[in-house]
Amino acid sequence: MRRELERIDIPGEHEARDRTWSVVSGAFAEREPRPPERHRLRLAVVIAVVAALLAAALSPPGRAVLDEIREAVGVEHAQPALFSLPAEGRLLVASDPGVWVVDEDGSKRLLGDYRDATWSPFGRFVGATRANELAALEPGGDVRWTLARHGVSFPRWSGTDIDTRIAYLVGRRPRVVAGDGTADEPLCSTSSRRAAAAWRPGAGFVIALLTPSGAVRVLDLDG
Amino acid sequence: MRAGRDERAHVRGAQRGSASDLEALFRIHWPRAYRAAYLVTHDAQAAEDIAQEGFLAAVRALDRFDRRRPFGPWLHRIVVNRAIDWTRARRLRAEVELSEALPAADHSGPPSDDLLAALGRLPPEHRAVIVLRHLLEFTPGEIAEALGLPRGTVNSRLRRGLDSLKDEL
Repeated sequence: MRRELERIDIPGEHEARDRTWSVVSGAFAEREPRPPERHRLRLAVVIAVVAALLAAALSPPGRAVLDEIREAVGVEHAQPALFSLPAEGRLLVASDPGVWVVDEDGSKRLLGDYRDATWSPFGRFVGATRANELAALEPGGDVRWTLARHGVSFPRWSGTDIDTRIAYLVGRRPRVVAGDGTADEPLCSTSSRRAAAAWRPGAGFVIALLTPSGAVRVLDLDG
Repeated sequence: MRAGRDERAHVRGAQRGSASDLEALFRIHWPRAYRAAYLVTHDAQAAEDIAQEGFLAAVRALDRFDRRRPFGPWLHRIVVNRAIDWTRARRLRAEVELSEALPAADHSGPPSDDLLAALGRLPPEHRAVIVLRHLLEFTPGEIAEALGLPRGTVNSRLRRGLDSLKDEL
């Protein structure tokens, strides 16, 4: 059985291997391995600082100092940074640690270390990018599919209830993929500026891109 | 035994930043990872993406990887699980149809031989256990662990899958 399975001819196997190696070696070159010794040292310093603070807070003089600080800055009366949204709905927020979904009541969920994100047209999914990956996730964080691409950015999701597409950049090359992660292809043969494309609202797939010279180029993908 | 020692040396080298060690791991494991993904998905583009994602996951987890564990089974487990997810998620394109049951994988492109065609007629979960057992040489216990299934389910899927293949061929 094994010999039979290994004999099956797979179209484009060698080209696929070369393309994959180029992506994998690129990702490897960008990774920053953390020296373990320094990591351990940093951890020890953090533990020592936390222990010192704890000791200070638990001793009577330490508690007095903390009380004074609290009184001076009014920490007890301060509002939490974000306690509720001013209107119904949810927010998608990108920050240094990654992309968050913020619910109406202010509760937040970190989806992962993504750099940029987009809602699907009906807000049921999130398209998100990090250095080498475009992913479709549920707002709860479950990953539905991923696409490995080197240097991916600026995802923008559009469509109707029967067909959706995500436009994104790989480097400066605009691409488009169906909402299920299939039919991934170049959006056009030319490059664009490193800026998000904009879909025309409503039915159809008309998209505007910024060309390297600064002009706006409009494409009808079904035209 | 020698292969295991070599592999551990390559993992150690890659963890220290050696691109040639990473390339050695890639050359050893990519063909089977890609083939396994293709045999489950029956889609060359998807297989390429899935194998690529498996290696990218490996690169991301390299610093945390325990060198005492074999690299290949760890990678193949990621790849086969992603291939199953992919076949189940094909209908995500129409967002409103998400909650509907997903069909068996669509067979895009002509099958290159009878075995491939017969495999394509099996449900993806059955394809996956056959690929894990007979291409990647996992034991039924390892398959159960990799797919999060009871061992009895793995054995029955293997039996039914092989019976179907025998009937087809």
